[in-house]
Amino acid sequence: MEELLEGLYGRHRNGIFSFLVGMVRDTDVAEDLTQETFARAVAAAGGFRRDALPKTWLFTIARNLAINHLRSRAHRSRAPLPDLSERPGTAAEPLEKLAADEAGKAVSAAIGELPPEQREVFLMKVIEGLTYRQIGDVVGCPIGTVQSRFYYAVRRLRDMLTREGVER
Amino acid sequence: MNCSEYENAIMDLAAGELSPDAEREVRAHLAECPSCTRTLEEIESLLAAARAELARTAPVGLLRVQDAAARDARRAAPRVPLWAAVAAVFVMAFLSGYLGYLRGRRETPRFGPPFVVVADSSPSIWKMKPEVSAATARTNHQPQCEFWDYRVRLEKVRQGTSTQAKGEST
Repeated sequence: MEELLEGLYGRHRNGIFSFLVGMVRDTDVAEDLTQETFARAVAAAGGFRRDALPKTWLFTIARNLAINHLRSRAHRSRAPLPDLSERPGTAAEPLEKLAADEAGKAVSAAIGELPPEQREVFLMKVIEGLTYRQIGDVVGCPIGTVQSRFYYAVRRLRDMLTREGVER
Repeated sequence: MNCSEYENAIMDLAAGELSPDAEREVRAHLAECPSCTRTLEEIESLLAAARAELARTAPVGLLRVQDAAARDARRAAPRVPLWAAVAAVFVMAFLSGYLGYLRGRRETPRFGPPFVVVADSSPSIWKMKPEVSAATARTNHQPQCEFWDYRVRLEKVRQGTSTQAKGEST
């Protein structure tokens, strides 16, 4: 079980972290929740069902933590995702990438504007490529609900980015 | 099916959720419909941009983890043992003190046999016993020694050859 958890951590840490960043829109909180996700996975390893997919199990834990965090937060910030272009080590990126960066920031901001139930579905689909069924297992919804949330999310993002005039 | 009815199927196709049969049907429509083809391209671009942007968040965490790993590595690197550091401090302190002692000895005036200046209105310092005065001189009380030397020379100037310097206490 320990080897399984180590493997899961190596394979899914970034995915869980990105999902949590998308959900809580705060990298520091996302880091804490990522650690908490794996800590809870270790603590609950005994209760892990062998027939369950470890990835969906981890995402279920991460999602619950994110929802708890969002609920406990006094007021929800509408700030866009962190401006990663300003992080250390990327200041000297080529000018050609600036347009792509701007588009990326617009995409991040648009994702942050999605309702949480659509955002989580979109993030799980885009980041980890979970199937509708797997996402349904994580969020506890029928496949049809997951599908419709994904459709709504994509339509809203297209509309928002079209309004922003982001070239795709 | 018209184009609007294909929209959901196109999103499923971009998400990789279509069965082979359904995908074949949608692609047949796309081959004949530039508008839906453009829609598919837009959705695929959107998903790719979102994927790329979200993936960019990972290095922030990785950087921190790498920083932490580098910090751990530095902590784990072999360092100077504590006993060696303590020994080095003691050696330095001893050498410093010994060198200071040697320098003090060189600068300490040599007065030969203990004596006192027999002069009027001498301060109490001059009334120390000879052995105390000599010991004081040897312990590198430089200002006192200089003052003492000055007073001796002053007495010599004032009294000429009659300056009384004896090897005994008054």
